[in-house]
This record gives sequence, C-alpha cells and structure tokens, in this order.
Amino acid sequence: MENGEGSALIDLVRRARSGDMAAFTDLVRQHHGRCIRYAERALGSRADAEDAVQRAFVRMHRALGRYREEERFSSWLVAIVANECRAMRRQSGRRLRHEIADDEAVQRAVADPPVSDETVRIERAISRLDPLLREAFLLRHVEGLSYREMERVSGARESALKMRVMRACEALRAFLEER
Amino acid sequence: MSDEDDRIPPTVAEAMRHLRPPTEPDEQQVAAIVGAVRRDRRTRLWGGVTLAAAAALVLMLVKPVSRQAELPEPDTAARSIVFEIDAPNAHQVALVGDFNAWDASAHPMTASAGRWELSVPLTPGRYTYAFIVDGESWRADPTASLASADDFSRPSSVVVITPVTTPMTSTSVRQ
Repeated sequence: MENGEGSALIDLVRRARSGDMAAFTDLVRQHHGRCIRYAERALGSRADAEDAVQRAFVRMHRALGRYREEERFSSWLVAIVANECRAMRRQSGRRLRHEIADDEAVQRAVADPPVSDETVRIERAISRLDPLLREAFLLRHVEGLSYREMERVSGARESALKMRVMRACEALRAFLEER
Repeated sequence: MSDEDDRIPPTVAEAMRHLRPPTEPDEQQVAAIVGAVRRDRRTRLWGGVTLAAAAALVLMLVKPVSRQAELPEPDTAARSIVFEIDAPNAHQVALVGDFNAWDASAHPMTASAGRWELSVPLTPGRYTYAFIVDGESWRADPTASLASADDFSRPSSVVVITPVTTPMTSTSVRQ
C-alpha cells in the first residue's frame, strides 16, 4: 500500500464505501479512540468531543466516495474531525480558554484513570495554547499530518501553518519550564 | 522556513512521551455513531429517490410515449452529490469546477449556521472543483482529495463519481 497503511485497512475502506456497514463499524472502532483524544484536546470537553466525533464520522461516511487510496486514511479522517471541532467552536460561540481553571478534559485526565504528574503537565500545557496554535501543533506533532494535509483543515498556507507550529512549540516550552 | 524550524524542542519532545494514548473503543459510542450514519443514509436515499422520481416524471412529459419503454442507461444516470464547506464569516460562496466551466455564477451555495451546502446532479466521471469565498478566496474541499499541482494552479479537489449499477425493470406504455 503506497500510502503506508495496511492492506487490511484499505480493504475495510473499500467495503465500507460499497455500503458494508459491518466494515464501516470496524473502521469506527479502529479510529474512534484517536479521534476522541484529538477532539477532547481541541475542544477541552469530553462531551463536546463525543458530539464532534460522531458528526465527523457521519460526514466521513458521506465523503467516502471522495477518498483516494494514495492518501493516508487516518490523516484524511483526522482532518475531518478537526474541521468538525472548528465548526463546533464557532456554533457554540465559545472561545477556548487560555486559562485552565475549569479545564474539564484535564481534570478528567487526572481522575479517571489516574495519570502521572508528567501527563497532567503536558496535557495542561496543550490546553493553554491559543486554539489555532493548539490545532496546528496537534495536527502536526501528535497526529502526524503533513503540512499539505493540514492546509485542507485550515485553509491557511504551509508557511503560515509552520509559523503556528513553531509558536506553539515555543509556548509549550515556556509553559513546561514554569515552576 | 527550514526543516529545523519544524523540530520539537527537547523539553516538549520529552513531555510528549507522557501524552495520554488514544482511548479504548466505547461500544456505546460506536453504536451511536453507526445509528447516526444509518439515519443519514436513509435521509439521503429518500432524497435521491425523490430526485429520480422527479427526473422520471420530466422524462415522461418531454419524450414521446412508445409501446416499449426505454431502459435508462445506468452508466449515464446522474447522481445528486452534496458539496459542503465551513465558511462562517463568508457572505457568499460559489461552487466551481469543470462541471460548470469554473463559472462562479453557476452554482451559488446556501448557508446554515456557517456551513455552506449545495447538491449538484453529476453523471459518472472525474471532476475537479473548488469553492470561491466572497468572490476571491479559493478553497479546497476539506473532505476530498486535493487535486495535484498539475491539475490546477489554485487549491482544488477531486471527486470521482462511479456508475450506478442498480438494475431497473421496464414496462410497456400504451401510446
């Protein structure tokens, strides 16, 4: 498979595209956890993340006919999730907070299941990023999208995206070095 | 900007080793998603049936009635394709592509809560298309594959419509 993903995955995609709901269900199972994790970080709320991810999968199913196999399916799907997260932020009129006073996602991370202090620190630092910087950082360095794939999400050019990623990294370093 | 500017600072890279991994699949949520997809499919199917019925009615009215009804050519049957894009600050969005000669006035889109949408009947084939926001900003479709740089100088997307293979029955019609 030229895009680096396994033949089993592409077989599932083909079957889902032809209307096989069992294959589509397997696709959901395989990618749901990753999508939830991205959306939770992007939106700061588990409940909102679940809504956004559900809408993303519906949208993905509609768009299966447009998916081309030379692209990475996982990246294509994450781009759709990222778009739904953006749409949800706009529709709710909510601005993601820079402060972490009631960051639901981080509190949940601490409580269930219990996680290390290092995990809390990095998750909290990411939650403090400006939404655009956070999106750029997550897509590039957590989800592993290429800049070309990221252009599809934001509409911004590669040079602007690289600047956002660099600024995100600088901000994260500053947050992590705080006492 | 060089590749070095894309490197993660060591402090951040070390901290990222402690990021939470993806969650385990939640079967309740998986079931909810599949249910939502099934409902969406039914809604789109009925929309397609309505479109086909309307097309058949037009066909009957404009074509001469003959004793032996003609079977439609399944390979050329148009299908209703939904195009959508998020542009909440836009005042107008146009769909352009090689199916409308890239004419920005041919397919104006309609907005709902910041999402612009339009259904277009397309026969099987490969189409390159894009969205023009407020008459000047070109955007590709986030859900579709990007057209290669050789296809078009501006950001654009590709959609491939496959032929419909559903068999249809014929009936004889009295003239």
